[in-house]
Amino acid sequence: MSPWRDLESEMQRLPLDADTADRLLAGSVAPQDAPPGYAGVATLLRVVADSPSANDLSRESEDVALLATVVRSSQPKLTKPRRRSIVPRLRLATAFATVALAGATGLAFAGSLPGAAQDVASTMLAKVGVSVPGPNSNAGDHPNVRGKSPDAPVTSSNSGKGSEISDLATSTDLTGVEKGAEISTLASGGQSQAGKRGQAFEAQGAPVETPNSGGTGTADTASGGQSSQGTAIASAASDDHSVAGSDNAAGGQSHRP
Amino acid sequence: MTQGPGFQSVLSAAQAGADWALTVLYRDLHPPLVRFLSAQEPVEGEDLASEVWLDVAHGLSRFEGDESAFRCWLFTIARRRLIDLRRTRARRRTGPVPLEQLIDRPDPSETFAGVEAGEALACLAALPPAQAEIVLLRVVAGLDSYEVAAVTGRKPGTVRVMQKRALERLAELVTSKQSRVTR
Repeated sequence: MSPWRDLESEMQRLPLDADTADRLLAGSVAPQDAPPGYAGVATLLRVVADSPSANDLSRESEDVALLATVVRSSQPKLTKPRRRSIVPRLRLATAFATVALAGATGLAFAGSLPGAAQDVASTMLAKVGVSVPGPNSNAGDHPNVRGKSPDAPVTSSNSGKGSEISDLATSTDLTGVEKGAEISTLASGGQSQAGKRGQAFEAQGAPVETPNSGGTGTADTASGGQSSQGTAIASAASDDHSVAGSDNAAGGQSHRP
Repeated sequence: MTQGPGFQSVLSAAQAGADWALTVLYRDLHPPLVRFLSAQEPVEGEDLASEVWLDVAHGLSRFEGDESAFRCWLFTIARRRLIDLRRTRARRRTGPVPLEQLIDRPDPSETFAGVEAGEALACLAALPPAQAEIVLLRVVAGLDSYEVAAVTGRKPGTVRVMQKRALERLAELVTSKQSRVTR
């Protein structure tokens, strides 16, 4: 009987599906269970997977020792957070203050500081015997109006008015609306109408009588006599019922229940 | 995969530089690593494996993941080392080597114990390099098709198609070899 390898080559090889290929490579298909034409492949893959190389672990001890050294040397180092010294910052602040002072003094000697600052610098440096120009040294004959604003106008009508109102508010015997009206009148110079609610109609004079008749005539005049024709047309169209309705309404009769 | 649930403790100890843990990892992964590299670069395989382990040692403290991820990481480094070697070799092109100087070159089949393994390796070497690499990562490194896709930077579907074609090609090679032997 021929061995399976001899028969293998005579078998017709079928197309391989992806799942079978995956299982063959995973080693889960034994050569005898492989599809026709793939038993040799299954054997070959097993040989490749199982055969150790001739000197796989011959350098194990050296390699592991080297690995341990490298791993230990490449450990992330735990460093204590260093306290920052204050000296560098102090030096920086001192240098900044020195530069600022020198600059300000230079500007004061040149008289280039703003008016108020130049005034202060002049005063301070004069105390230590250094003379620098004052704020107005370059002003010539221009008046010194720095820091002054025009006086506010004083109106005589308003002078003492607050105390007068206050006195009235504390001394009057009136109460409620009357008190408010009196104070308001004084405050507004008689222009206030506080406390006169409901009296406006009377204050404006006699009532005006408004005629409530003559509208038709006015409408007739305005429409050139055509407004009265509407009534006639309506009466004709309703067989005089519209007039009767008006009469009934005028007579106080109603057909409504 | 041989460590199983204990892998995390082994990894932690290895990250601290414990010899025993590094030995466990080395014994588990060095043989397939050497086979993977030697199958593609018979002369340089051992040296490449040492370089791969050095890279692993440098990055071990930062590694996070399970055993499968560690295996993928190791073979990703190995694959890059191979690519680097081939690029360097391509830059340093030399003239043709006399035949008598090649006599001392090791035969790829000598790297593996047994003649059968050498024959199997010769069959794999006859595959297109990309297909041979995928077969080696599946069979030697023990990765599944998704892990191979991650290592090689290909889509899983592409890997499945390539591995199917590789097996079909291997079947042709095996068949032709057997037919030559039986004649």
